[in-house]
Amino acid sequence: MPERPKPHRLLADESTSHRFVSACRRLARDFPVIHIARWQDGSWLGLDDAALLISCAEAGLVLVAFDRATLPWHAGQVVRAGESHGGLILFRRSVRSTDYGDQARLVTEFWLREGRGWDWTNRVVYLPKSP
Amino acid sequence: MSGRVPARYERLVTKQARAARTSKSDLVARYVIEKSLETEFPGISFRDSLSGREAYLTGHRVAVWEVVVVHEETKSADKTARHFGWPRVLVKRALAYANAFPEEISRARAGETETASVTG
Repeated sequence: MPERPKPHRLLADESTSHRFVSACRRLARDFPVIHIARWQDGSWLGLDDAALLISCAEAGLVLVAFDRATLPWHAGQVVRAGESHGGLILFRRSVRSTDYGDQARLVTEFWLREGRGWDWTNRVVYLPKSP
Repeated sequence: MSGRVPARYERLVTKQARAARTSKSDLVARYVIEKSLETEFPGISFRDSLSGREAYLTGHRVAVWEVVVVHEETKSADKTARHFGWPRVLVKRALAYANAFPEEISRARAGETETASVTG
């Protein structure tokens, strides 16, 4: 019997590239990440930060994005308003926007080693992690 | 500059100014400026960010300054377009706006990246 495809757990925000998602899959086959442009036929592309964070919580998705001050701020606003977000993984400034291999290595290693076992509700993690 | 608007829209602006904790005249000025820029630069819209109002690509989640960052790394509109999976015209529109308002884009970029948390 063919194995069922694993459900997506990570949603790559639009500031990340499709190439980051491809690089993750090269490092770890069936890695549960999908780009926002492919999720729900791209219908989430027009969502603002707060709406996206709440939608991710409802869909059980952790959002992967570059660290913009506004995104974690909106995550805090969502929690203060009594809602939940599904978790955030943010690349620090030291990670180049076009270094897809580095981004993929950071996310796959972190996810497979520890992240996949966590409860991600309202959690924010920066990669690379602090020593 | 002055103009007249029907009372129902004035009430709407008054309500929005109160919600934004600003004056009605400041909000009207912002609306006029942003709408004229959206007309002058098709495909550009404005949204709230932690460092103030921010230009972004209409219908997308990417700010103009984020396109500039990728373009600085790729040094190519085509490669930047491939990064985002967009047609080249969207990148050109973002860069046209950034070239017209370099200080605004630098300020937005600094506000978004230099105030970022270092905990993790």
